[in-house]
Formats: sequence, C-alpha cells, structure tokens
Amino acid sequence: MKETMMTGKVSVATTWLQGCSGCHMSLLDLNEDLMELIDLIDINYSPIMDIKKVPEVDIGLVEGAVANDENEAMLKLFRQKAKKLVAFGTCACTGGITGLRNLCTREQTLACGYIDTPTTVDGRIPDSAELPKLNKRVLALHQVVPVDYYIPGCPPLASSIKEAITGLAKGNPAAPKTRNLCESCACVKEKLLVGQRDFLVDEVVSVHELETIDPDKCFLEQGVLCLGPVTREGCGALCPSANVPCRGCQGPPHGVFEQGAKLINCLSSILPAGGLMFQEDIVGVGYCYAMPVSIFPQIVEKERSGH
Amino acid sequence: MRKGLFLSRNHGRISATVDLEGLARNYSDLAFVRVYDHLFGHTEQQDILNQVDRHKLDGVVLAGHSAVHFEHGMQGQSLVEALKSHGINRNKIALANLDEQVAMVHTGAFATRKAGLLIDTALARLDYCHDIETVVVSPRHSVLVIGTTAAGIVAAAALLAKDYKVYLLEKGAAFRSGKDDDEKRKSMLTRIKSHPSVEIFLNCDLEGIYGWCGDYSVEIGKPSGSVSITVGAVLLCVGDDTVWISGLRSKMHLMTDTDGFLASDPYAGFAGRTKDPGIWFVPCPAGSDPLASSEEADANAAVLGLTAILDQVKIEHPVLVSEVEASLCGGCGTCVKTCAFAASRIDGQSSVSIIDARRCMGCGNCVTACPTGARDLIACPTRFVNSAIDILSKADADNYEPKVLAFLCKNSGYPAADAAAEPDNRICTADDSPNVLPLRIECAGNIDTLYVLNAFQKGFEGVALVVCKDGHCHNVVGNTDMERRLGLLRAVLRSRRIDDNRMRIIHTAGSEGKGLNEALKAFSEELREINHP
Repeated sequence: MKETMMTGKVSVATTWLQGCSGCHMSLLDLNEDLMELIDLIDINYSPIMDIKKVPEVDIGLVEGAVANDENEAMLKLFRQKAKKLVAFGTCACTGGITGLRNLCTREQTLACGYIDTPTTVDGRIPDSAELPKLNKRVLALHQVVPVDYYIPGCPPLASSIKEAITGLAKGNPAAPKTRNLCESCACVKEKLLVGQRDFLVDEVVSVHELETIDPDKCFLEQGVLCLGPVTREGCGALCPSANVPCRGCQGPPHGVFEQGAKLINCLSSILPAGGLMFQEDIVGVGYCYAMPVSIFPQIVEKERSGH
Repeated sequence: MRKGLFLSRNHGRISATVDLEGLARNYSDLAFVRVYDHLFGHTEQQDILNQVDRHKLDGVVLAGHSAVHFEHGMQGQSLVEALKSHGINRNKIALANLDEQVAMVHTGAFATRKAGLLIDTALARLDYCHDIETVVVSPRHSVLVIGTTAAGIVAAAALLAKDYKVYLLEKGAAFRSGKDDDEKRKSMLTRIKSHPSVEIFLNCDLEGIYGWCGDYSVEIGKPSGSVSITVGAVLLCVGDDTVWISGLRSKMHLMTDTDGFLASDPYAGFAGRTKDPGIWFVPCPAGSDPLASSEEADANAAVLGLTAILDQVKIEHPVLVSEVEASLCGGCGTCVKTCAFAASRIDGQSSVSIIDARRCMGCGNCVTACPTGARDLIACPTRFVNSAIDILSKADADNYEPKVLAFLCKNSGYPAADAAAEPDNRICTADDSPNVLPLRIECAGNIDTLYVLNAFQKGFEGVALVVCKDGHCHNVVGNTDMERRLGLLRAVLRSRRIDDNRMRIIHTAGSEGKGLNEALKAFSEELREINHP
C-alpha cells in the first residue's frame, strides 16, 4: 500500500453512519495498544477529531449502516477518497441493529419516533431541508458501494480491530473467518453429539431462568437459545465464556446469507419448536444483526397481486 | 463440460403439444442435440450411445420420460446403465419430464415454454452436481431372518439348502411357528435348531441396521447386551405382528398397508420386495398385498429373489451421501443430532463433521439443518436447487395465475404428480391447468426454509410442499423435521407481511394423483383469493 508522503505511514480516515459509535469506542478501547497502531498509521479524518474535509486516504473505516441520504452521500465520498473501504462493525457489514427498522415502513418509523411516543404532545415529523431524509430501507455498505474488507462484530473486539488495521496497513489482511462460533467455543457438548430424536431439553428458557448455569456445558444442552451455531466465528466466543449465550452479533457464517432461516433449520430438531415460539421473538432473535442482507430484507408492504 | 440433449417425442404424445424441433434449435450451442421418437428403443439407445462416444459427451439431459421410468422401469434403468458404461457418471444424467409434467397437462405455447424451463433446470443440474462415486460390494452369503413364524422357518430351511448362513431373530422367548403336529415342519425345526450354519437369537430385537444390499451391519439387542453381525440381506417373517412391524419401521424403511401389515414396493412387481433390494419380507396371509399368494410359497419366492441378488459376484452402490466442506464446519454437532441414521459424527481430532457412507441415506436432513452451509447433498446440491428456483420462476402462463412452485419429494410427490397427469385423475382441462412448476427433491427433510424464502423472493405466489404421508417418510424423520421448520418459518413470513397461507404442505402417497390435483386446485383458489381479496 502506498504510504503517506510526509510520515511514511499508512493514512486512515474513519466515519460513522447510522449506528451507535460503539465501534469507534471499541477502537479507543485499544488503550495503550493504540500507540503501537499509531506507529503504523496516521488517522487523517474521523468524527472523534476536528477535521472538516475528507482527505484522500489509503484506508477508509466506515461504521454504521446506510439509513438516510446523508449517510449515502458520506459513504460514496469515502468510496471515492479511500483506496480500501472497510465495513467497520456489524451495522456496516450486514445492517446490524440499525437494520431492524426494515420490519416497519419508513412512515411507521417516523410516526413512532415523532408522534406516537407516549410523552409526545402535538407531535410532527420534522421536514426541514437542512435535515437528512430517511431512506425507505436500511442497507449494509456493500449494497450501496463495493466494499474491500469486513470487520464484523457489535462492536468488533478491540483486538480484532487492531489485527485488521495492522493487516490492511501491511498489505496482508487476514482472510475472513469461515466457520461458526462453536469452533472457538469452549463449552462441552454431549447430547448434541448423539443422533437421537428427542429434543435436548423439554423447554426453552432464558438464561436468567436457569437455577444454575453450568459454565462448561453447551447452552443449547441447557435449554437456552444460543446463536453460536448460526454465527460467524471471530470473537473467540466471548459471551459464552462469560456465561451469556451468543446473540449472533458477528452475523451469519460464511456459507450462509440468511441467519434467521438457518437458525430455524438448525434448531428445529434440537430444541422444542413450541418453546422457541414461546419466546415470541424468533424474528428479532434470528434477524437481529442481519436483516438488510436477508432474502426478504424488508417487509413486503403490499400483498403482491398478480405479477 | 460437453453436454448432450436427447429429446423424446414419446411416439408423438409429447411432440403433439411441445415444439421439440424448435426447442432443439434453442439448444444448438450444446455439444449435441437430437430429437428421437422414443428414448428406450434399441436403435435409439444405440444411437444415443454412439453420439455420447462420438461427441465425447460427459453430461446428458434425457428430456421426455418421467424419472420414475429411469428409477424403476427396466428400459430406463438399462439406458442409464448403458450410459454409465459409456463413461457418463450417474450424477451427470439429468432428466426433464416433458410428458406428465408438460404434454399431458398443458396446451399451447406455454407447454413449449415450460418444457424449455424443465430442460434448463436439468442442464443446471449438470452444472452443479459433481460426480457420484460408486462402491463395489461382494455380497455376503448370509441372511438375517427376523421372526420365527412358519414362513421364517421355511425361509431359513430354504436358505440353508442354498448353503447360506442364517441368523434367526425372535423377539419372543420361543419359536412362533406353532403347528407342532405337522411332522414336516417339526423335522424342519429340528434341522434348523441343530444346523451349524444357524445362529438363533431368542428374546432379542433389532437395535439398528446400516449398510447396503450385500453388506449390512446389524446390531442385535440381547438380554445380556448387544451384538453386531454382518449379513448380505434381511428377510422379515413377522407375520401379523403389527406391533413389532411398527417398532422395526423406526430402524429401517418399510412400507405398510392401512392395517399396519408390511407392503411390497409398488414398483417391484414382486411380492415381498421393499425399496431396498437387500431387505425382503414374507407378506402376511391376512394382509392386503395383492401380490401375495401363500405364506410358504412366498417364503420360498423371497428366498429365491434375495439369493438371486446375493449370488451376484459384485453389487455396485452409488455413494449418495451428503458431503462436508471442512473449511466451513465448526463442529457444532447439529448434523449429528439431526441424523436419524447415526451417519454423522464430529471427528475428535479435527472437530469437523464426518460421514459414514454406509449409514447415510442421502436424505438431506443434515444439509438443511447445518447452520453454516458446510453440508451439501451430492444428488441435489443447494446451489442446484436455488438455481432451479430461479429458472422456474421465469415461467409465465398465458392465462393462468397464481404461479406455484411445488417441491416434489421423490418418493411420493413426484410419482403422485405423474399420476395426477393421467386423464382419469384430471379435474381441470388442459387450458386451465394450474401454473405449477415442479421441482424434484430428495425428501421432505431436504426442504430448506431458505428455498421457500427464495421462491417467494423470485416471484412465486405460492409454495406447495408435496411430501409423504405422516409416518410414511422413507427417511423416517424428514416429515417431522420439515413440519417443525416450516411451523417456525410461518412466523418469519408473517413478520414480512407475507401471508403464510401461501405455503402449503400436501401429504400424499405416490398413487394419489386425483387427491393431489384436488389439493393443488384448492390451494390455487385460495391463492387467488389472497391475491384479489
């Protein structure tokens, strides 16, 4: 990669679109390791710096999904300015939490935010020309412009951000992880490794409903919905190692593009289906992080009639 | 790949409706295309084989006759065998049913367009299916006889006379054969009990069986533990013990009649043959098997039939397994838990799933269940199904809506769709025949929720899943798992405001053509109501 003329370092710009800035927080979580990174790169533009104009850079890190016209313009600008465009975090990679908005229409979303809230009196939807216009649906970055590299995670671990940026700066970024989270999870499976017709458990429970959590036992075998099987590895199974079931924030594994439907396929023969329904949020669970890249990326607003 | 397309007029029945010559011109970029009067005649077969050699074809599409003819019919099988001997892999022979699925049910320009789509689908199969390997088995000259009914004793004696080793398995504590006053039977019993080539398991039951014709491994549960034996074939002589039959059905695929008695495979044309050529039974005298005669004669006939198979020097088996892409497998164990045949396990060293080809039935349930897409079915790869959905979605009927995709289980839905085309079973005229696009799959367990979503996304207005009746799934659990999956998928569909009534499960037997027509018609009418409320 061509190095910055002045410093001999690789130049980087970062931005956040529709998201929560958590990925940038995770970047800052590198703490003293940031110093090592700064030996390698120059950050020339970022929302956490006071620079107004996006310069030409080697690497552009973009956090968040594309949800309004300002996001879209910024992303296109970054694509122009950056030699390598990096989708930074799950919202950028697969739509993430931001993408859940696609379960409603734009009008419903606006009404919900500005009119229907219980504390709102005489609410109205702001329509100033100064304000960005909400897009009809939320998109992941690659659905708008070509993306060169992905760092999934909600947020990505500080260590994986460092690894990715270092790899990109040195011109040898690590290949994307291809397997599911179980690969790196230390929980021990017993019942799952025996072919049998019975479900692993009689009912599905939330983790707080367990009398005792067995830290060494697979959550599915304890009757807790864990999204590990339908989630890309890369976080080192951080949540399961802390007694919390995986929520799927790394997005679907490499061979799959539809996390929710695969969750259904996979869990239907493992846990009692009625129990899953009882949780009443199979959609929110299965599509929490990858709604905009699923087969139906949004609600079908009107029943199709004819062709 | 060098592909050849062989089209059949079926003595004019197909060519009366479908413009085969026009279709042939559309595919002139293939290595070879020709229209025949029929594909099964001797001269035609010779010509097909000559063209395969001359044009060095390595994939062929046989467009005309139903897949049923190639799986169960003598002529179709011999054509497939001949093609294989000319270097074409079994998985590179794709079929397009232009007869029952097109010519017999449609008219006008749509018939030719639909025929084109079915041929495109078959060509896609050639692109996405890689070669199937075959395993050669030297048949074992030993037979497990299950049940010590009179038929079992007669069969055991007949097998001994042919110099076979016999294992005799009985659930009860004593022989069932009864009739101790019958001198002939008595002496037969004495001979069997003292014969060195007979091993008797009383008070025992079958715990598991896997393998293929000529070489099965059988687990027998004894009061003192379990033992494993290997046999070349299994002969069930359980008479009218329907309780035992239903227990055995969870271990191997057996067809039963409405009374719960064992029934012959309808395509076998031979009393006592099941779908698996190494598993035979003696029909119960009280049963409704139309092919049955008397118990003793049937026992002898079954022995004759199965020894004729085992006396072959070798038997070839295609390895129809599901396969694993190791770089995607995280070893989560879903496939192990899901498999009804204990064919999957996680390798201790690599933590990657591995498959026991002798146990795998190729049903695809683990492929559907695999959450990483690491699994695939050799006979019906995921990429093929998705591309077929894409191709079939391009269908446009002249004057008919809604457009329905029908997944046809190869064991029930596909033959039922064939039966549905018979004039006696038709309930619509050719002009208002529903716009149903057929896609043959391996089993209900092979139906991935992603396929259903994909079909809706590609513009199908309804998805019909035509599968075996409850309790008749050839792979034991395919139906159950499919119903669980689709039950949950309904919530997903509703969340996108897609009416979940657009998805319909139709249970059928292979013979119930009229029932299938009625179910599809009712489904189409409901879809029209959803479209135009």
